[in-house]
Amino acid sequence: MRSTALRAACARVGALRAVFLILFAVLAGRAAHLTVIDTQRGEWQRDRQVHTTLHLPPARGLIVDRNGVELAVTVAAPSVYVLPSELGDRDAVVRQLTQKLGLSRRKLTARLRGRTRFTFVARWVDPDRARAVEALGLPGVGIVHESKRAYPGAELAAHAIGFANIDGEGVRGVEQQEDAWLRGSARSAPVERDGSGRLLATTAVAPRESAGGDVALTLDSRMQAEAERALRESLEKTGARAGTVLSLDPKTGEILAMAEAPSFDPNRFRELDYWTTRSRVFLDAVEPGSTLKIFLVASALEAGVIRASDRFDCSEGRIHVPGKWIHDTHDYGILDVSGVVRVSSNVGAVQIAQRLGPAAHHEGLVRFGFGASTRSGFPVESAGLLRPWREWKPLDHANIAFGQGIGVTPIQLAAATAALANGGVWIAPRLIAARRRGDGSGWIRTEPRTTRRVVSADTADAVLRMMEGVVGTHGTGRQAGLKGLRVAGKTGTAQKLDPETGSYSKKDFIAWFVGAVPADDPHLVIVAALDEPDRGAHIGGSSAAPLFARVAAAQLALLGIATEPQPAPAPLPETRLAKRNPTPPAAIEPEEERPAPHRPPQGDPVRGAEETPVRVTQADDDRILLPDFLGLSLDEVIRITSENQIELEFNGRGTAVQQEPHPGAILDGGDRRVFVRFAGARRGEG
Amino acid sequence: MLGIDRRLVQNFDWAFLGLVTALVACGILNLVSATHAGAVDGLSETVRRQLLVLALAGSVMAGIMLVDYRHFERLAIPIYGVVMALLVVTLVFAPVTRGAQAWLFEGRFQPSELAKIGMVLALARFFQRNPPGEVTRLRQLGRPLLITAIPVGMILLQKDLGVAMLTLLVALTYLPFVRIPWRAWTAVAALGVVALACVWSFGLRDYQQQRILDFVDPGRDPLSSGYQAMQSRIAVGSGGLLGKGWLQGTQTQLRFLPTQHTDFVFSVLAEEWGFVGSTFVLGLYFTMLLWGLWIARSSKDGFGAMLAVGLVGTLFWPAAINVAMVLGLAPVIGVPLPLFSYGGSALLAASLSLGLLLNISMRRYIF
Repeated sequence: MRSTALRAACARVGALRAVFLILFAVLAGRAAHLTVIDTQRGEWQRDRQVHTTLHLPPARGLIVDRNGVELAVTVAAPSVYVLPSELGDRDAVVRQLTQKLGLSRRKLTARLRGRTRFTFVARWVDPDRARAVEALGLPGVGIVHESKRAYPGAELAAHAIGFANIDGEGVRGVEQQEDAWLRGSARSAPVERDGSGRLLATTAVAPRESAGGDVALTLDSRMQAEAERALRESLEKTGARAGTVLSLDPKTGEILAMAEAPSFDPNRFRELDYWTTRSRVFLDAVEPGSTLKIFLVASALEAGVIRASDRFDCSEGRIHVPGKWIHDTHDYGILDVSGVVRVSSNVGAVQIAQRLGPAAHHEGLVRFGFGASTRSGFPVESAGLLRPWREWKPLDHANIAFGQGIGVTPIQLAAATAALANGGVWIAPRLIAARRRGDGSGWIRTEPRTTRRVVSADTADAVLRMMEGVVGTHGTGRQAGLKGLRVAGKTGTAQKLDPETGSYSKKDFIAWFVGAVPADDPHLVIVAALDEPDRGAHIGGSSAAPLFARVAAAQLALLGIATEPQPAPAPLPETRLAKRNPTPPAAIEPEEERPAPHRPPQGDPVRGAEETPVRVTQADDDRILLPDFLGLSLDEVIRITSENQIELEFNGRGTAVQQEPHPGAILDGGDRRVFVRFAGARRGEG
Repeated sequence: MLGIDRRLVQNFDWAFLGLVTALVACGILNLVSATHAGAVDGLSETVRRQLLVLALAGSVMAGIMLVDYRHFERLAIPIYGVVMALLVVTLVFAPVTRGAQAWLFEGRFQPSELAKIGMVLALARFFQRNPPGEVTRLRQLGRPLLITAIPVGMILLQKDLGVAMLTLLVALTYLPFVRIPWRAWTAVAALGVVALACVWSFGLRDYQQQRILDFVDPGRDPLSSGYQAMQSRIAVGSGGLLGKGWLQGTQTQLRFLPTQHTDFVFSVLAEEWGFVGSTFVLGLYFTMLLWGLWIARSSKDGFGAMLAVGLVGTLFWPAAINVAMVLGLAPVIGVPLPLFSYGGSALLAASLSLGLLLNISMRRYIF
């Protein structure tokens, strides 16, 4: 039995040995495959998981104004984090943290639920609170100092500066425009990490070496502050919803101030609605109204189709173009070119445009930079709206002559005006004056990127002279006058599109004033715009022009030119006369139609109603400008109101001492009511 | 019974002991590197404890050599009984650790390691009495099947799938020593497939199914259960032909593999010594095992031969499965590499096997 077993065993052991050898060969072969043949993959995977690159975000660079005043800086702000897996008594930790940090316990609990890895519980907390949390000494709770952007000026130039988000990424304004420069190149340090993800070695990086670059703006923070103050006051005075004031150096294209209201505090960007932080100066394309006439005149003079001495028949105060009558506020009789600009005659402007022709008119506007981004480099800039001239119908062409059916941004308008003030050379506006690298080397100035001659110096000068007339006694912009200084300017009033009806709104206007000071050697080009001013007159001449004067005076003072706003004297006698003999409402032309909702730019005639120095009842199909009744007798007031289909309420006797609404208010078809109080009547009279 | 003949010393298998010593030395050296990260004075606590167990294992090996292996033929069934009783005790009293209930004495002792040797003793006794030529019918396999099924079943109940499979494989080492017709094998295979399907559906826990799925596709969840398999392949692959050098393996020293000192210790070897070093150790291993088979062949009695075959099986299967697992050829089942992986029970069990093999070898000329 023993021998049988032995013999069998000896034979069968050979079989086992074969099995062993085969398995050995398989394992060795596999080892060879992994280590020698297919090494590429293993090696690559190993490298990927052992070697990693640590991106060390540099401190974001400074934003300063042209004089070095810091507008955006980077500070360290403590943030509280939690490593949930290392927490002890989670409820106790949550209780203590909510107490020290003033957080909602429910939110914090929800935030930590299901988390096992690093989690921020509060970012950018008050340093005192951070210290209090640190003092608790809770395991798994820590403080990390993060970079935080701070804006010392708060609302100052907020739209221009913009802001960086919580991850230090510029998302608005110059912060966004210059994000790459401000951020600098992140120093990447090769590091190794172990199986638990811990870093094995950190390469020390010199802090200055890793800092982002600095940016100097063209803005002058003092001019900016003046512009913002004037704008705020103007908003209060006129009740406008919004407004912008833009100051350029016409010789360099540098933006010296860009005030926008309402403004915001970029330090509190987390609470802001992103849309409200857009820059209207660059993004909002609106109709420029009559300000556009100066570029029409410049183009026509340049093209040689008119001469400054040419006269245009503006009598009757209206002109017919196919589809519509275009109106002036007044019958101006015969006007020369400078007269057309001075009183802002639509009738005259249409005739000039017709002489120039749509192609040349369009080309002229394009040369002045309309219909295209100014290439200022600002992150979101609108190109405005300028349709190709071949799509213009005669009425469109006529409308564009006085700034309807075209959308422009304040920056486009400023750059175009600056071209006239700069002897006919257009310069791309810019916000960046200089850049400095993070290593502390010197400032490198940025040069104007684009310059081009738009019109000859003679043409530009001629138009500037005409614009001086606008600010004179008989001009529409006499309230823009400055003491002892020549001012060139142009008023404009644009109707806003009513988003609900798709047609022009009857009560919402944008009041414009563009100007250059001093007119004989312009240092500043200022564009002022007020959105929906409703207290006082809506027209550019009475709301935007005073704003312009205030800003111009304050900013010129900073340039060493002492002056103060001083409106040109009003031509008073004419006012009295007009007031007592109000023009009857303009006849409604049979072919005149309400604007079709889908073709808003065709407008309606009142949109041609330009501001005039004379306060006069200006009636339209269903809308009038309320005259000044003060000092009139009851009989006279009744006559005027009945002629204009105004419902009159009054009390007292004698002469009018108070009226509501105020003179110059617009009365709508649906609500033509006025209240007048009379006083000082002698017994027995009236 | 404890007689020491002069011939025993003369016939002592120095070559086999040399092979074992070489492997143990390599194992310790490798373990030093595997636990080097964070170790004080170069030697980690793990290595110190392993050296302590090694000393104990050496004594066990020496002690077992003194007892003539032929006494174990008589003692086979009692020993088997005691070991099975230990398994029952484990099943009743042991706490559940790492999903299995396989450890006694606060996790220091794993009776399933001893169970394999007890089973081998019983099987050797059976095959000594039923030589290969005589086992030709399936029903004759009833007793060896029972001998195998009891420990395998109980280890399965302990939820230690890997060791259960391993025990089954050790028993299968005896397969070449039976002569059963192919038709019978076909029936067995069919039954086996059905049994496997049942085990998959009802017997396997989720994590066990996961492990097998991870073996099929290690990349499917790199941060979870497939992690070890993937890290192991990366470590082995990054070793290249010659390796990175002792204590120089980045995967090892950076502890990408949580079980690099236990089940995945071979990946440390492969990373630091490369293809050449790992194949050398594999070669040593197989030389030792083939030497074990030679001991079986040169044994002068059937029990010695059958016991030697079984003992070689207890060393061969864990080694083959473990290396296959490290190289990504087998699913991740908790099987340590004998003489290399850290762990007392496995080392003691290996020393018992090796001591018995030396025992058989030194008594081959006695008759």
